[in-house]
Amino acid sequence: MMSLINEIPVVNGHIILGDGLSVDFVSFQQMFGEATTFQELLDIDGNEKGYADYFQKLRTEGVI
Amino acid sequence: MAYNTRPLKRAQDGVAPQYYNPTTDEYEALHGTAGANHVVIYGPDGQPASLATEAKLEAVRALLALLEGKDFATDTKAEAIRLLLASLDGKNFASETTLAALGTELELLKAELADVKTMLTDGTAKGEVTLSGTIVRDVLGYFSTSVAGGRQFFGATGPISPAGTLRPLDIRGFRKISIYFLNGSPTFGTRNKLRVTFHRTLDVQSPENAFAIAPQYEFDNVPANGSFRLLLTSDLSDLAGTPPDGLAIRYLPDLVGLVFSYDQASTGADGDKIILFSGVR
Repeated sequence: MMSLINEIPVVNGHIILGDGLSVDFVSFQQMFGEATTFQELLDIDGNEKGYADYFQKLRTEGVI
Repeated sequence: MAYNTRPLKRAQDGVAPQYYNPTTDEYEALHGTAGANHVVIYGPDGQPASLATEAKLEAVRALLALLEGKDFATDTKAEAIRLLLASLDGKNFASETTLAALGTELELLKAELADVKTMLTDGTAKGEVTLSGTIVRDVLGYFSTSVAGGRQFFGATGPISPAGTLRPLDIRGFRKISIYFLNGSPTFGTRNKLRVTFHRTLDVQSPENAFAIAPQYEFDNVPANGSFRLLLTSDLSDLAGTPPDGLAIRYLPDLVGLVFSYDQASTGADGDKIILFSGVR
């Protein structure tokens, strides 16, 4: 099954998180590349990595 | 009928002044005014000419008046024109052939420009653009640390915990200050927000307890492996051109010292955090 993060826009090899924040796609892929559902993204984040709000925003906007 | 077959008109004492009218084939008496016969003037087209009226005469007079004082061609001017025309003799003007050749060159140029445009838009030329200039960005400070477990402060020195002391970063004379923060931890994002504070002196001090100087800025936490870019500037034009991956805000100039801090829950060394301060005078 295709990784869910492939739906996220990438600019110059980076994912723009907003407000001056970004993450390089390679590192992001290493962390979340195996996730195929929204819940799996949240599980991997574990409320520690700091991406939960960003994933929620993507879901609200219909990106993932 | 003919005029010589018609009878003349007679007056009381003889033949009356008259003329032959071929339309009626009759002689008709002459009429006149002020001692003269009435006369019809015919134009070159055989039609009765329209006589000049006062209005038409005035119009003609006005036209003639316009010509008065005009500088008409003199022999000198005519000679000057002749010389100019002579100077054109033998000139190599564009021929159909040269124009066609020029058209071909333009088509080639157009194709090359299209290629360049493609290179710039599809990323082919990525990394091949060379910029040059005189903007000098000073690196004011660089830190690489895995310290976590609480808030860490960075200035001219660091990192230190809230209980420690440090010397703020000297930002005097800089129009722009850039802060880059990389959270190299793949496990933990930062917490309790990033923080930038300004200080009135460069004395060694406890940043957590230093007298607050506005403005103080707090920024969103940086997730695992994420980075944060901040441009503090006194140039308002920078705010119109905020880079897509950076955050530009205005700060009050003439401040003396700066301290940056982050807080992270990690209790171990699971990835370096990098802090880079740079400035433009």
